[in-house]
Amino acid sequence: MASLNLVAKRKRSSVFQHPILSLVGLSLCAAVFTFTLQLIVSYQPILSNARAIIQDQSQQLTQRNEKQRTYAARKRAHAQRENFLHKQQLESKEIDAFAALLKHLHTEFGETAVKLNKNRLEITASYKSVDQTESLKTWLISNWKNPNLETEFDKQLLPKHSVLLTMQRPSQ
Amino acid sequence: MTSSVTKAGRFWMILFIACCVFCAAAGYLLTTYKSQELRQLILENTKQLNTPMPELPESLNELIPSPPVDKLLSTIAQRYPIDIHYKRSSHSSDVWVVSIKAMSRQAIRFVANIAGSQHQQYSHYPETETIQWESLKSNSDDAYGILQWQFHWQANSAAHHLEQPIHTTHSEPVNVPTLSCYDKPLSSAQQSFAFREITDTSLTAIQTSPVRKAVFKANSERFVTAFEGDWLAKQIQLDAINPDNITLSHWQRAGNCWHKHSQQLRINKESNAS
Repeated sequence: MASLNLVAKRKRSSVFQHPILSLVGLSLCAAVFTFTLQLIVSYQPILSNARAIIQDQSQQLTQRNEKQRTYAARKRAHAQRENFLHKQQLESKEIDAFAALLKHLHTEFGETAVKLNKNRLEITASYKSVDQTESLKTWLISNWKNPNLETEFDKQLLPKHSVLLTMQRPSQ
Repeated sequence: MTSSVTKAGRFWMILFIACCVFCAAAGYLLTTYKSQELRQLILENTKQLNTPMPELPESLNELIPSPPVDKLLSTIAQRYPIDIHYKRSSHSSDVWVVSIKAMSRQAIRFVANIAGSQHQQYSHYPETETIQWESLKSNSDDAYGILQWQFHWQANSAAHHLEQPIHTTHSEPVNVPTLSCYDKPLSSAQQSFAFREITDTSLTAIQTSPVRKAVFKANSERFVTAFEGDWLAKQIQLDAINPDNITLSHWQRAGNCWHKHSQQLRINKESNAS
């Protein structure tokens, strides 16, 4: 039986042949593990606090993002409204411009026909002298035409002392 | 025996060092590194949160609903001496074709009034597609003819492409008088007038009890007594008699509606009623 134990002892790895050394080694390793574990555990409140702050900040950021989206949407709506009101105003100005043109034509010419759309103005008027047609064109250029827009003019003298003046947006 | 102890010692030493390295790494990762990472995140978030936010623009109301186009056209048409015919275009339900037979000034005032009625508010507006005029008869002052106006009842507030108009945008605005179909003189029958001409007439006395009356002295040294509602001259009515002044209103009739001058004429005792 004793010889069997000897055989087993010899077969055991040489590192575990010294129980005291093994005990010391294992204890040291366990101590290191315990110390590390304690260190990690002691850090947890700090980390939890930081996480709580981050969670709070995330909520604030979500609200902020929501607010930013609302801001962008409202800004878009404001721009659209501005645009809408601007167009609405332009429409009134178009009527004013048409009225001014009619007023001028009635003081200078007899029978007139005027047609206006977004791109073209067409005037047919009966004149007494040809000079009137040229002065009408000059009046249109200086008083009625949008100075910021290049416009094509065309003048045709028609039978029966009539003139056809067209003014249009250049074709793109 | 010695070598076996050394071997065992070395093994435990290596194992211990390995443990230390592992624990140091794990400890660093789970404490300092993690904490730094969170702190960095907190700093970034704080920075983001501290960035000033632009002030939130006020929320806008929806487009104000407009009255039905036909109702608007017929209501405003009552204010002008015009013959009007209007219909929806066969192509689109939002496009209207209006044909007006009238003096050009009245016709254009009507058009401007329709556009202006929606102007000050965020509501639909008539977007002119075509406007054309043909004169039938003309005199030195104005011309009679047909105005055809085709417009789109614009309700779309989405971004439009803003195109430059071909006309200038600083023409004189059309004078649209503020007409009312609800407001009218106290007595609309202008049968007799106290004075032929109101100029050079002075107010000499006012009585408020038992009856309200005002006494005027006309140019011809004649005294005339007038009561509230009396017409002093054509279109000028004695509106109210107060203890020390009277109020006159200047009325103008257009179509079936009346236009009262926004500036009422107030005259004081001994002042000229001009």
